[in-house]
Parts: sequence; C-alpha cells; structure tokens
Amino acid sequence: MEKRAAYQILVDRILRGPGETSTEQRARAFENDGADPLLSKVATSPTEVTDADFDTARAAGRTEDQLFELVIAAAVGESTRMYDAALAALDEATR
Amino acid sequence: MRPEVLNRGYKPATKLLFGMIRLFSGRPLPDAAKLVFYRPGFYGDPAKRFTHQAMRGPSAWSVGDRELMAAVVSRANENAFCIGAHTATAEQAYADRPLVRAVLADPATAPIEDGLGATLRLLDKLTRSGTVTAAEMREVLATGVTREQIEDALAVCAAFNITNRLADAFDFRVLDEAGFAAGAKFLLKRGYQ
Repeated sequence: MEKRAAYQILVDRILRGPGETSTEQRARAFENDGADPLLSKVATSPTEVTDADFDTARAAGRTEDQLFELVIAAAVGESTRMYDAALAALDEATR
Repeated sequence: MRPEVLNRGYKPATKLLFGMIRLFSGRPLPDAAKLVFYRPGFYGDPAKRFTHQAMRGPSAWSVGDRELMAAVVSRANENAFCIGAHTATAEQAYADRPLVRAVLADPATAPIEDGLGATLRLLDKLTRSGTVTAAEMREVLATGVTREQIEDALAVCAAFNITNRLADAFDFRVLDEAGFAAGAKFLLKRGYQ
C-alpha cells in the first residue's frame, strides 16, 4: 500500500499542485482528450514525438514550462490508466 | 533534452552540482537524473519517492528482479535509454549478464523461475496493450506469485511507463555502454532518491 500511496501523492501533485498551467489543462492532458497532438503522442506513441511537435505546440502559444507540465501530466495519466486497469483485474482475480 | 529549458533552466546551485558531478565522475549526469532537478516540487521529488519505493522499497522481489522488470517494460515501450540503463543495472544486480540477455531475448526459454517469468509476461502484455484480464492475473497467481508480489511488480511497471514516455518526449540522450554501466553502479548504490 505504501507504493500506491506514493503514486497517489505524485498524481495529486501533478493534477492539483501549483504550476504554470491550469488544473483544467493538466486534467485534459492527463485524460488524453485528444485535443493536442503532442500530448496524445506522449500518451500512446511516445517514440514518435519529434522536435517539430514541440515547435508546433510553442507556435500555438505554449511556454516551455507549460509544455514540461503537460507532457508529464500526459505520461502520468497513461501510466495511471494501466495501473488502475491492472489493479482492478487483480482484485477480480482474488475476489 | 527538449524543450530547451530542461538543458539550461536549472538554479545556480543545481548547475554547480552538475558541474561537480561531471568533474568527479568524468561524465555528465544522465538526462534521467537531470530531469528530476528541474522544478523538483512539480515532478522530481514525488516521482523519486515513488520510484525509489517501487525499485528499492520492501518487496519479496529482489533488486535484480525489479530492474529486470524495468528493462522488460522499457523494451515493450521501445525506449532505448531505459532499456540500456535497466539492462545494465539488472546485469550488475544479478552479477549475471548472460541471464539478463537470455531473458530479454526469449523469456520463455530463459533459466528463471516460473513466477518471475509469468510476472514479466504480464508486465509486457500490460505495457503493450494497456490492459490485462483477471484470467491473466490468475495465470500468474497459479505459479505461486502472491497478490502482494503482483502489486509490487505493477508499481515498477507504473514507474517505467511514466519514465519511458518522458525519456522519449524529452529526448534523453542515449549513453554508451560505459555510461550505462556507471549509471547502473550509482543506482545500485544509491537507488532513486
């Protein structure tokens, strides 16, 4: 449980802690709402992220610190969906 | 790394620390280690605490087993930096390079215990497809692996599903063999905190 508690602290910090982006923007990145091509790639095809994706995001008005936060939110969000799905399967298997 | 702020945006004291490490070790700090110093209150500090718990906290899995899990997850995500780093760390932890190479080449024929093999297959499946079923969990439990061991393995998997994505997105520079070996030595001595 200690590990899951430490994970939850990380998630809470990313989603609700102070930052250069709004908590709504971070929540959308975390959920992978599909609105931003860079963040969708981070979630589902990270090996395909290129410099051009960052250039496009900057051209759309995002600062580097905002991109730092949103990329992390996208990565943690995808990992969390897998972690939750696996823990639910484990609960079902041991019920 | 990209964006550029991850190369230059550190506080003066942190830059001094990076310089000292370079001076004494003869090599720059790997990007994975640098990243956690950038605005550590946002990501680095809570990420280090979780990753250290997962990789070095109490567990029935050995440090070598968990480093091998990290390598298998990184391979499923095709992340060159983390494959290199955690293959090297697993090899040093087990003091058995052929074993680690055999597992990564073909876990089905590698000389490891059934429980570890089944757990590695579970993590591989979860990482590649994004989910696993209760039936797949039961297959692992049937080898004698406990529920707690599966939870511990899932924590390793979660840590590296984050780190692999950040390594690709932020474009961590891939090290040479000597660089990964030096990083592995550090991770075995100090862990992730």
